[in-house]
Amino acid sequence: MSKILRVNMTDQKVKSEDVPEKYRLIGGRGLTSAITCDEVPPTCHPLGPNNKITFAPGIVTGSGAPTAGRLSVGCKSPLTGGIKEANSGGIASDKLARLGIKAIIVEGQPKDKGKFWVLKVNKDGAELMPAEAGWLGNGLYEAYPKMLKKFGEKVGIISIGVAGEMLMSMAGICVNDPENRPSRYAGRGGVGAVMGSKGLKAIIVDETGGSSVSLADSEAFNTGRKKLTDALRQHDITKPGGTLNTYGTAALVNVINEAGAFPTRNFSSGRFEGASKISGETINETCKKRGGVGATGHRGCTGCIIQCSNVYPKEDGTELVSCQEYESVWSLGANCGIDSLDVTGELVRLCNDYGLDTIEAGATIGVAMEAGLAKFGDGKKAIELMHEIGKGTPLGHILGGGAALTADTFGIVRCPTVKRQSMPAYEPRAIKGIGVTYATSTMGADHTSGYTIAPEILGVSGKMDPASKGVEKAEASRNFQYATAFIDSSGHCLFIAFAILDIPSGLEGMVEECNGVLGTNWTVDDVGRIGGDIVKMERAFNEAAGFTNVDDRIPEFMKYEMLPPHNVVYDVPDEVLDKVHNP
Amino acid sequence: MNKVEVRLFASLRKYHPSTEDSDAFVLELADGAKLGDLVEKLKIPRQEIGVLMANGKWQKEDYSLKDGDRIGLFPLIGGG
Repeated sequence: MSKILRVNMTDQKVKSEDVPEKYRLIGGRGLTSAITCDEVPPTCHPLGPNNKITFAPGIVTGSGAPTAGRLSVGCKSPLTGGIKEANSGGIASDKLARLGIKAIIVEGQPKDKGKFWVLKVNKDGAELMPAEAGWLGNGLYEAYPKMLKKFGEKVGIISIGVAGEMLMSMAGICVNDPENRPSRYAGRGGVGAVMGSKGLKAIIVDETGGSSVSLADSEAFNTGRKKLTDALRQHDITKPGGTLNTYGTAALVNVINEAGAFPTRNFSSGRFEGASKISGETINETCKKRGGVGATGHRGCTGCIIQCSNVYPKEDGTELVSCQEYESVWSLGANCGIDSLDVTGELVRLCNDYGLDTIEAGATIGVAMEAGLAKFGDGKKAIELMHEIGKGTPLGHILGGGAALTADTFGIVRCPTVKRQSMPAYEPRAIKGIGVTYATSTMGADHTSGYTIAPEILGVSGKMDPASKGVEKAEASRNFQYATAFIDSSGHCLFIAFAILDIPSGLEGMVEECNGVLGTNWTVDDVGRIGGDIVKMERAFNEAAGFTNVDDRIPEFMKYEMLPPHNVVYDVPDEVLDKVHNP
Repeated sequence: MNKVEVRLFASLRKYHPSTEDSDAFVLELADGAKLGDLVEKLKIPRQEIGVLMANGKWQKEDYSLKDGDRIGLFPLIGGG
């Protein structure tokens, strides 16, 4: 019997509630967004007592479905001021689902500022206990082993780092990977600061005695699981030995760079001369050459059959970090003019340690470099700036507030944000459709919320000219935003999209798995409808929080600064942007 | 003759004509040669190619190569 845990941090009481009928057929992002919309006043202060933060596994998480271990974290964002869902892999979500927990809602605020608790969840229920001194104020590479020692090696840990404790807007929420590294993140939008504002350091999930999610229709589920598994094993991007498995997400570095859309030195160029040195190919070769613990095709999340993670070794073969992702080697690499994986690896490790979103962190250092705090390419100085954040110095607090706050502080016009959230690793001037998504997503600039890169650059799910700027881009972005909201609710990793967009039976399989768990009769035609309802609900929250279509815009500098090598500006008309949500 | 600069990525790197660890190499092709001729010259099976780019833009195999073109060939790539 699934349940919702309600954790009141004002009086440190935990209640178990039945799942209301209206939440029965949703999960993941659909559920976190519904709870945020139903229970959080849109105009509340994101770090005040009236915001709530919700954690939810997806519909099929914990069922044995492939690549379905995602955790959704939802709240009002201190970075954007709008609704937020950040999404993580790792091992905790599967455990929550196996304990029958559909969501954990954390509300209220303790009277004692600076005091932190840990929520322990197991088959018997949940309880809050004071966080031990050694878990606080330290990096997560130090805190995780201490928490594991206390709670056992097999627990899932959902925790903030010092950045979350200090309520910084670029603080993420960390989940341990299968080898218990603090390395998988619900990174974006400052969800870690909201968790910190509740005085909640960590959620410890002990699934001992739990069981697989119950199935309403096991035949439908098994049929669906097989179809999806077959599609994932067949598609060149997701199959064993395929692109993601061999090169990781950083396989994208070269293709986006070649397309002239790889943001370089704070979005001043679309091509980075050092791109190949930080590419997935180089990660793969270095892992082989240095040996030791180095590995590609590493599994970062429970039940994943794609396995796109890596463990990047130092020269002596010992571990530098897991994982060097595309977004991270871009933000902390090319965007800062840095062409060394040893430096990006160290910066990623610091983000993991302090509890930071690597995208926002790299974009912020890029802005700081533009402001003269360091020279582009100066890895040593970038590491020092990261330590400022970790130490919580006054400068560190400014940087920890993200790219927009840093740009405001230092008078930088070239600030690559939408709704104050930094753009990820695709230049909208060179790939217009992803700019439509950045502008109109309910989340602020976010590639995952409507990944038009697939047809615009990768030739997945058809082909679309990246330079076109008509209504077809609004339609493509809308369709991707809707489909993504469904996948984010299913509990599947968004990377299944590469296979299911090209292989129709894979898409059917995902829907049939959901039917198998829920007892619904959805078809593939319901995906867009259900996802669309989620996006519309999120957008209504943002409107009530004060957002209008004027907020759905790309930063002005991109409309008059030409981006090399194609020498293009962002010229998608506002009317096209407005058509995404008003077709 | 047209000289073009070629880059092969990810799983296509094994078709690099030399064993040198260089990213880019130069190929000479006859006037009028198409992108498809270049693919054939490198003996890359067509089904292994996901994306063909010339000067940072998608092209098809019937694209007519010009002197100084920058060519990139990729398998199907994904990430995020």
